[in-house]
Amino acid sequence: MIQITNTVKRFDSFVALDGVTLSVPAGSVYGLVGPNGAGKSTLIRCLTGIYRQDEGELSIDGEPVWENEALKARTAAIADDWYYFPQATIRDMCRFYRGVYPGFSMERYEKLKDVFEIDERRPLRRLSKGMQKQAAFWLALSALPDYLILDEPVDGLDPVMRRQVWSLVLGDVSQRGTTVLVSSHNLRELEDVCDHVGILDHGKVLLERSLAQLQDNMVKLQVVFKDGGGVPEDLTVLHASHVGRIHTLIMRMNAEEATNRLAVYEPMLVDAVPLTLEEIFIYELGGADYAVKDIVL
Amino acid sequence: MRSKTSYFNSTLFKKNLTRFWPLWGGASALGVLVPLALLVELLDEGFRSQAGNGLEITLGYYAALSYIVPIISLVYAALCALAVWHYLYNTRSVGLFHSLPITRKGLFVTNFLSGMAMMLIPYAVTGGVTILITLAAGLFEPVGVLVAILGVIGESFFYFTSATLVIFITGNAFAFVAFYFIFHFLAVGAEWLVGELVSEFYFGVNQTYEGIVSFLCPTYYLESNLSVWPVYQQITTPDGWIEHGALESATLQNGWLIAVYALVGAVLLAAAWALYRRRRSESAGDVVAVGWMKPIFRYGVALCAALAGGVLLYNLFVAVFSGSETAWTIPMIVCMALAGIVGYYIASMLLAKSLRIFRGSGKGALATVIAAAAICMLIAADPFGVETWVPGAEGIEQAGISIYGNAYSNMGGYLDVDVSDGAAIQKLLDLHRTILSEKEQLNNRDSDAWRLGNSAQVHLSYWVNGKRTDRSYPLLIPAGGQAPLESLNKAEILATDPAIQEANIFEQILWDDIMDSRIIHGYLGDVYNRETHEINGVDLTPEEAQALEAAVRRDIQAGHFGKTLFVPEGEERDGLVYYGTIQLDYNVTRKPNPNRFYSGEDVRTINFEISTYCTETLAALKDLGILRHPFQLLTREEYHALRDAEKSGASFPDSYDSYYGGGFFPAETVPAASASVSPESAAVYPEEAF
Repeated sequence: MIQITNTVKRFDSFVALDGVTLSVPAGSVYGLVGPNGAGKSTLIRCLTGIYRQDEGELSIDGEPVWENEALKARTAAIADDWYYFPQATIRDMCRFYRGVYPGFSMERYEKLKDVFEIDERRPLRRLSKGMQKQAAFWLALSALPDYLILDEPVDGLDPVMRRQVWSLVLGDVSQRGTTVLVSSHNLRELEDVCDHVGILDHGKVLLERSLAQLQDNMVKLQVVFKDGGGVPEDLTVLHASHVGRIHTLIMRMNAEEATNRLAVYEPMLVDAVPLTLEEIFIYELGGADYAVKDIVL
Repeated sequence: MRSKTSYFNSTLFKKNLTRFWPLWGGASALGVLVPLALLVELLDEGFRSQAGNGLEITLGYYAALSYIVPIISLVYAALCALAVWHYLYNTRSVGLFHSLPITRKGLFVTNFLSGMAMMLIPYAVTGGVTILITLAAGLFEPVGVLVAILGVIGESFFYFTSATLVIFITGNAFAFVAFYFIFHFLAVGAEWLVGELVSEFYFGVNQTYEGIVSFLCPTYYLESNLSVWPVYQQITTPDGWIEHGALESATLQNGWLIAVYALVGAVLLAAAWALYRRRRSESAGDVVAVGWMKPIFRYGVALCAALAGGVLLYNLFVAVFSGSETAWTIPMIVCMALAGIVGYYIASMLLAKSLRIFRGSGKGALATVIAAAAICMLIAADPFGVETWVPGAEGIEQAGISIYGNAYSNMGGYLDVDVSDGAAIQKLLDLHRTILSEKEQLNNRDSDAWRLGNSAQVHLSYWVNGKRTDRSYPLLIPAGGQAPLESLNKAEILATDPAIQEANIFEQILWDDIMDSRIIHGYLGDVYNRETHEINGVDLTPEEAQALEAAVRRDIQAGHFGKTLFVPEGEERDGLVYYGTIQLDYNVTRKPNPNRFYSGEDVRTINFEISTYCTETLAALKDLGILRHPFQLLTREEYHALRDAEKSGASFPDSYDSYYGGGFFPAETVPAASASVSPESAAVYPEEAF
């Protein structure tokens, strides 16, 4: 479990993390979302031991992260723009990682060769950004980490490779119980993979929920009222819109409760439809929050 | 619970060495050229056929340690430090290294050892090949090898730790290079800058670098203090001639300094670790990476700019109006404040990596101005009495005086002597005090005395408690019937003082290590033959030279030498000083010196000019028959007239006859002046020239 408590990080007078508290359950895929400059990368750098927080605590499995060699050996990170030694090939980096990460598996490395289909003898600097990102996944997943920390991981990957990479990551989560913390500025990207989500803005956590919690707490209904009537005034909804006689209502309650409430008005049709992650966040945070707009547009 | 951590990562160590092999490989390839050159030399000499001396190789090791290794290590350490630590200067690379499962301590130890290995591999390769060659040639000398190994390790360690420390202070490679060399030369530069400012304010105090803090400049200090000390045994032939010197021993003088700097290196290493463990990865790209050092950098740059730029601005735009040798305080404050503010803002821009640093910077700029003014006023007030300082006679081990200003040449036309006897030192001190008492006149360049007259320069040196202090003052040579200042009178007395002139002229044979001197030859230059119109030098036999030397000494005793020192340049002086000079050659016996190949017999030459005041010398030349008719010495005025006549084709002016009439030749023997001189050679003049 990753636990971040009241973490503050300042760059001179600029406060990048302002008392961040969040927790990533073991074996979960946690999506950290927020607009540019929200503090996602700073939090990830603190979590990977690159930055040292000014205040607060960051721990994994109850151990502080800072200067914890054993913990870092179980953690692999992929930054948005990862560094490779100049002139190095994937094979060179593999040898280096093998010497540094005690859990590095050559067997896994050889298996992943078939997935990533990159010439491992080509200098990495001559590869495209997407291929370099694939190489980063290849090396990180070969290290068999218990914790995988990813910062904008699939930027630059084509759709097929994105699916491939997520498949590998989720495979590790299900088979090895790997815990994944993934940051992104785009909610849609995380929708299919995350089971927990946290929103970060201006260095603060705006919201942190499991996907199940979010979905249980909000419902989207398509309703047709009798005689073509509108939404009754005494019905509490978060949002209402209509196309012809079909009204779309967003209500803060589960589907069963909402259906019972509407039964009083004897509607001609009531149908609960799934909410997208994007819709949940828009309506959960009031719909007009600028941060949410930033991450869904 | 934390698992065990390791402080060395072999994978990273190997990666460092393999990534940067061109650096240490190239250095090794260059280094190995030295023993290969030695091999070629040995092969040329027949390798083992000649009985070699391993101490000669040791001498080479020590010379390298003293003069080459410090400079090479200074530069090479910077390259090695950049190689292993440059990841700290890039956000991406620092992200990789600091997220690896290696602690900061592990990174520090591993990278430091990698850098040290890169430092030492070229020396090891060079030394290893040298050892193999010397072993094969039978020249292996273990003590020298051991000292060289320890010395190289010590110097390499010191330089690499200093480079490592500077790496952790800075946040980018350009800043590192600048700070690294500033770190190594700041002390010397700062002393020079302060000396420069002091010299602007104090009458007679010139910019002289005294090296008070030169130990803070290791390369300079090691180069100055490490030396090789060979001891030779002189092998002589049966008839007493020195055949050759056999090297008996070779010692590295002040080798302990390397150990001291290595210890300093250990302190620097501890400081480097303290900085690294607290270093913020986000400082990559900054000029100064350590937060508390930023104000030091900002105000340090401002102060240096105030000192250097202030003096420069003053001399460019103000000094021309000052009319004195010493600076005006207020204009200097303005210049220093301006330069200091510029330095302050430049430093601020570098720290902020932005040009927008003016808002809220008023207090800092004001502090800079106040500091510049305070420094300027403090120095101008001379709280330590530097300007008026005159040493007590009892504490002076040796004193020196040099007077320049009207010298034609370096052949005795100026005074430059060191004295250690009490009477002469007292005269110097008397002159010094008189000059200080006349500061107002001597320092006022707008005065009539300055405008109408001439000036000479007197330079005084004192050695007190082994430390040398110098002062330099103008002397006013009056013109147009003005009365000379007392300082000039006292300088004239000094210039004609027999003891001082004796030391001045015969300085070459009065060295401490000379046991005995014997005159072997003499030469009188530029003697004019009035019949053939040629100018030739005349060789003197040892006997003639000895007689001439005796006459010169009589002139010295009579105070005839030095009388022309303050005669203003121009016709008057040209009419007094002869163009031809006297040269005396001596065979000297030097005290045995085991540190030289050959010592003992040596030849020394003294050369000096004479004037019409030197009557004893001129009479001796006449008595020896050297200046018999038709030979004569030409004054500089006569010589130039002759050359002018040669160039213009005009006749030799009749008016010059008076000189011959008043000299050693009857007027009637002087040929009539006419026609021109030969264009081919200044030494041969046709008959019709006169």
